[in-house]
Amino acid sequence: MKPTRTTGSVIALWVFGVLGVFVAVLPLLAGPYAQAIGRSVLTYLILAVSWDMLIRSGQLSFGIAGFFGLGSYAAVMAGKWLGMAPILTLLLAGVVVALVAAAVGSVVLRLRGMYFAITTLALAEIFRIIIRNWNNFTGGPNGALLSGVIFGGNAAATYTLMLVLGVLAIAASEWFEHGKMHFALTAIRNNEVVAKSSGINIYRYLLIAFVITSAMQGVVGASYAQQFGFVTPESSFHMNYTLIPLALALFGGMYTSWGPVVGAVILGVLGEYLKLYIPYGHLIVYGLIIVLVLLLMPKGIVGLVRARMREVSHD
Amino acid sequence: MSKTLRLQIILGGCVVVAAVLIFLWKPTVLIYGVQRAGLYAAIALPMALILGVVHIVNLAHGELMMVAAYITYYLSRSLGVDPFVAMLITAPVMFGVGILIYKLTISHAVKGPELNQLILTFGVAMVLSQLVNLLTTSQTRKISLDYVTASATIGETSFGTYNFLFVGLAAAVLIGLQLFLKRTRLGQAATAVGQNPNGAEIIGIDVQRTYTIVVAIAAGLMGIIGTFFLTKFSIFPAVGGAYTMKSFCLVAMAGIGNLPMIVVSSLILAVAESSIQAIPGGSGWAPLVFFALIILVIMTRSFRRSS
Amino acid sequence: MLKIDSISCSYGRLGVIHDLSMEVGAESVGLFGPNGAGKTTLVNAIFGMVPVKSGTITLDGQDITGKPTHEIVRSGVALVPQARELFPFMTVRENLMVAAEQVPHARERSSETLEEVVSIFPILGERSRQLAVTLSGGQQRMLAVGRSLMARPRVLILDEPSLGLQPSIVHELFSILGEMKKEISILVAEQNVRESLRSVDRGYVLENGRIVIAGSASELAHDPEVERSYLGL
Ligand SMILES: Nc1ncnc2c1ncn2[C@@H]1O[C@H](COP(=O)(O)OP(=O)(O)O)[C@@H](O)[C@H]1O
Ligand SMILES: [Mg+2]
Repeated sequence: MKPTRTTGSVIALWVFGVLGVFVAVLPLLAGPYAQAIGRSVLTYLILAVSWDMLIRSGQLSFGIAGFFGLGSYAAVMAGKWLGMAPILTLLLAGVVVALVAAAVGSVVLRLRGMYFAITTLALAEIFRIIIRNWNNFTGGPNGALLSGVIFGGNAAATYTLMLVLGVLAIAASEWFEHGKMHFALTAIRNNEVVAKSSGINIYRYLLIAFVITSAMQGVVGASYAQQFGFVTPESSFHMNYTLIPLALALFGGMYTSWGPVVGAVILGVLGEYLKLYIPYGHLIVYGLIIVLVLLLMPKGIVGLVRARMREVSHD
Repeated sequence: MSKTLRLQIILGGCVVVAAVLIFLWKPTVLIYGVQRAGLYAAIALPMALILGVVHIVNLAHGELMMVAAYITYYLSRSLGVDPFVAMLITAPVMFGVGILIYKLTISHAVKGPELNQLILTFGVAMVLSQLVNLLTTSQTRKISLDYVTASATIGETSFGTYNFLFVGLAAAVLIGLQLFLKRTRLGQAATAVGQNPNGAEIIGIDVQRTYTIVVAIAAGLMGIIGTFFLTKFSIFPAVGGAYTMKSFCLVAMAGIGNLPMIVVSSLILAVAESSIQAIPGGSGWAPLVFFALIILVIMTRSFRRSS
Repeated sequence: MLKIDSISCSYGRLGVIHDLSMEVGAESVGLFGPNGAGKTTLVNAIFGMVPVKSGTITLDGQDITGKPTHEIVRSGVALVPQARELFPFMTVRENLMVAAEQVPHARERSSETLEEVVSIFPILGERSRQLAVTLSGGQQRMLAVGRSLMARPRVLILDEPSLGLQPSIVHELFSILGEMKKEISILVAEQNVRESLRSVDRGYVLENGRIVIAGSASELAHDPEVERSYLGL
């Protein structure tokens, strides 16, 4: 039985791999509209993956929008004040957000469960208020405008950029799924006391995970801001950027790399159509997805498929 | 025990000294702070009730208030009655909403992992605010009532007096909840469930029914509190979110299960906020106070636990 | 009174109780067996806290299988759980009174019952204003027993009441149970066979979810198997 399962999963891997490459390359052939949708899917995909990477340690973050917005601002400020090349501002944003996350994390990561979750829920609001009040640097309530957008608005190029970032995000997630990092995060989630007594420096691993996932969110924010060329406190820290990734990750399946990816691809594409039909309040769908998935299929699509495959291999 | 008592006395002393200083500096800061504390405490108390009995942080707490405010708004507009008359309908409707939310969502997660509970109530919050957004758009709404502009003058300082109503509201909610928990059969059962649900089941308490009623009572109270809120403030679909976080901050400061302390924590937060607002250029920063407080309080709490 | 007719229980795929039958009449019955035999599972199944896969449980002919716990309590069964399950931040008196409040026929006579319970366990009267969490282990066990009596049950079930108590207190507790059996039916799950045999009329020995020996207290006391495994002779 064991060999069949390995062959089965190898075949599955190939099927998904070829399918994945096909889906990823498709927009490049299909034109600007498909590329725009692909860009948006990838934006939320990276956010969803990064959120999932942290929750594997048992730390639930509602702070995605906060780091996303911070990254957006870092990139636009670097372009505006330093005249930095757009692609470099993404790197800078990653570094800035990583530093902020390290500082914030060194305090809030001592909190657990609901305390951590609610503190991170406040982060977007905190960052937004600071940015809004820091008038002469950030442009205050009006936000700031760049003179141009990244790659001069070339859809294929920006899609490719997002694709590269997406692949990097999945690679980072896979790294978290294996080796020492995986062992440490899972140990922390399952039992902190045991993890501590087995010599894992919980705090260090949590901080690494928090800094990396926040930086990912910051880079996505930066690339998003560079694509549209502006930031405002209200739009850049919008609740969307927390709500949608959460829904995608849950729908696909938590605690895996591929869950958030599958969720992002399916819901991301559907979401674009939804936006056309319900321009205001389409976000209610994501709230409903969160509630329904938790109640009806807590392991998400990937969990369902896995259970189904196990059934098949048992027969 | 004596150590915590000493700590409380020191803390209490600091608060009193700070209050006196603030009063000498700008009396209105203290007055507005007390009024605001009333609002905060009233909103936080029902969250504390749910947390103390059901052991769930309801991240849709502020959204319940928002929904209640909208219900009252439309009732009072369409029936042409005062919001406080409309409240007679809003409160029972919200009681029903509480039952519905418990039965449909929370009851399925009440024995599950804490993270799932948090994500679930976050999802409920999003559904509620987006539903209102979908139905009424994100435009802000306000009812103008002539009695809310009442003011008084003492010496040279004049100030609005309507907001003292929130202090009365908080007192009523606190006393009502304490009487309920101590004096009624259902309330005593709820106390027992909050301390040990297994034990409660064993002595014959219907734990699920108790949870349902407690959530419904909290939601019903939000029906009342949301109406009071509407009489003074503008409402919009996202208005509740900040109050969820502030309420949690206050409950965490007070200690889970300690309702009277919420009054004290509300006073600290509210007076700190109105002090910051009184500093020139400070008004934009006031919303950060609660974040600083929550970090400070939870850190000292977790340090004390680990030592 | 309490009649258990070929019930089976399991946790997931793990069967724990297999086709088990027993009865408790107007008497005191012991349920003996090593750790992991299934005593707690059986007791919790009677009490509606573990699902019953098959078979029936009746109380005075009335089927209570699968009923919710609060209904079973109302029909006259009370449990003293292995883990005591008190309300730590309620006073001793509040712990007792809240239990009486939940059962209609006990509610009317709660102050009378309270006096009876205090006369059985005087310590609960002395400590009535103290929080339950401040009591010693033995006192907490007394409170757990007292609390179960507040419901004025017809059948009292105790799950390992001697667990973690010092011998003198165990002795006292079983003397009290020996007195109480005149008024109510008692089913006591125990590993401490030596002490509990003094207070029961009959007993069952449970191993791996099946009854392997049944008999009167004196029969069990002289059964070679029981002597070897439980009385350590
Ligand atoms: N909640 C549970 N889930 C799974 N298995 C359990 C559970 N509780 C008990 N068991 C198993 O059932 C068996 C009987 O346990 P229990 O009824 O507690 O025995 P006893 O009370 O006689 O010591 C044991 O093998 C135990 O591991
Ligand atoms: Mg046991």
